[in-house]
Parts: sequence; structure tokens; C-alpha cells
Amino acid sequence: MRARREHEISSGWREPIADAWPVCTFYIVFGATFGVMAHAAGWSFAAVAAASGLVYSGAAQFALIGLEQQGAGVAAVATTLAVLSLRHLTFTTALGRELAALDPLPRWLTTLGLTDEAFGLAAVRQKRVGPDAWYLARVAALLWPSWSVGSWAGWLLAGAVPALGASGTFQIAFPALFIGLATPLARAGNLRVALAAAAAVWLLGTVAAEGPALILAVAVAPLLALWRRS
Amino acid sequence: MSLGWALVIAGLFTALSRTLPLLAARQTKQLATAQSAWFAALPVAVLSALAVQSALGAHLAWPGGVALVAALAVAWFTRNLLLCLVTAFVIFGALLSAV
Repeated sequence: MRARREHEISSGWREPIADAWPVCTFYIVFGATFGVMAHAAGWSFAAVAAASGLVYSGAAQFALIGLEQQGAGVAAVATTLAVLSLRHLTFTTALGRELAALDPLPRWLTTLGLTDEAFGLAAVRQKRVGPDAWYLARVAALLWPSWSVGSWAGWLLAGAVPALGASGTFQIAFPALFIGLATPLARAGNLRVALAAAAAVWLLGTVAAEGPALILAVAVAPLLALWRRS
Repeated sequence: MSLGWALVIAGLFTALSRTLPLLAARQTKQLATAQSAWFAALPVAVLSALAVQSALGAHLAWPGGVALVAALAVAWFTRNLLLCLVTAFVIFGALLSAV
């Protein structure tokens, strides 16, 4: 019990809000993009609300739009979503100490509300002050409604902002958000290796084949950083 | 496949992927260990392998299979889930670009 309480740092709402508001803003805009695209694909408001409330995964939700438009079968949907969801396993595992310190209801709600960005914020917090269960719970509680409200607004305003879904802003914003979340966790040496590897792979990829270059760059870079760390 | 069922499957998969390590840890009493992560990842990985084999065309099934086998091997020898996932994506992406 004492070990459990050690991780139950009550940080209040000020720090979670201060750290999470940029991500909340991004979620509202990104969620709106999903809402616009879902509206264009013929989804009802209820379907958009269900997706954002229950699935709560940008990658999975955008993939669902494409899969549904292509008339994909059960197996194709399951395969895609299984692969896209695999990363969540690492989040819950890595934040196990924080989650274990919470009571059952907030623990399960927080676990279901874990996203890439919530994980990033909690990991940085873990590095700075140690495991902080309530910080994680509050960040999750801030991000989940932001995504939902954004997607609702996108669906409702779809007619007013038809170009939102096609905006190229996210080609820059999305990687930038992840860089911002990941950089505080990296050691200088690892970061240099990762950046150099990503740049090299990207350059090679643009010469050889443009499509997989970005995937290869973001995948090889952390591998090299991990290898250097070990 | 109707949108409703697709949403049900999506909700199920995302919920399972988020909670499986927690459920596994309750079984083993070892939260946040590599073993619990591995235990949690295994059923999803097997399910993915089966689904890849049946869902994708023949030209895409083998890269998916190879990537998953490699990922499983990496996870087995290193017990590092991140390394496992990255391996899967790298190999799958590389093979897809080649076929």
C-alpha cells in the first residue's frame, strides 16, 4: 500500500492544464477534421459521436472512414485496427505504476483514455518528478472531451468549412506535435542519432521511393536511438 | 460490413489494446513488466497474423506474415515491446514498398 501511495502524487489541475492545453487545442482542430471528413463520407452525427467517444483513436477513426468507403470486410477492418491499436499496449505497460496507484474507476477510465499525446505528457512528467497518477488521470480527462467536442463541431460545421478536411496544416502540425512531446524524453546523444538517421533515411527514400520514406524514417530513427542506448 | 459493426470492432480493439496490460498484470501481479506486456501482446499479434492471412490479397499476405513473425521473434528475444512494434512496421513497410 505504501508503494502504491508513493505514486499517487496529487498535482492539482494547474499543471495538467498548463501542459495539456496545446494538445487540447490540437485535438479540437484535428477532431474537427475528422468530423468534416466523416460528414463528407455520409456518417451520421451519432456515428461520429460514438467513434470519438468509444473508439477515441485518431488513427483508427480516420482508417474507419477509408475502410467504410471501400466496403471493407470484417477481416480487413479487424486487421487494420489490430495493427493500429498495438501501440496502446506499450502505453498502458509503461504507465503501469501510475495506473496502479489509482482507484478502480479512475484507473479504468484513464486507461481507456490513453492516447499517444497523453502518454507523451505523462512520460515527460514521469521523467521530471516521478510517477504521478493524478496528473495522468487529469490529462486524460482534459484530452478526451477535447477530441469529442472537436469532432462534433467538425460534423456540425462541415458545410461551413468544407476545406478543413483537405487542409495541409496537419502535414506539419502532426509530426511537430510528436517531436514536441518526444524531445524532452530524449538524451542529447540519442536525439542526434535519431535525427541524423531520420534525415538520412528520408533523403534516401525520396530518391528511391517517396511513399514509404516517412514511415522508414520515423521507424529506423528510434531503433538506432535504442541500439545506441543499449 | 455496416458502419455500426465496424465501430463495434474498432471500439473493442482499441479498448482491449489499452486495457490488456492492466488485465495481464492483475493475473501476474507484476504491473509494468516486460512479461506482462508480452503476455498482453501475444493474443493481439496472433489475431493480427490470422487476420492478415485471410484479409489481404496474396501479394500482401506474405509481407504481413513475415513482419509479424519477425516482430514476434524480436519480442521473444529482447522482451522489448517497442522494438517489436517498430520491427513489424519497418519490415511490413519495406516489403510493401518492394511488392
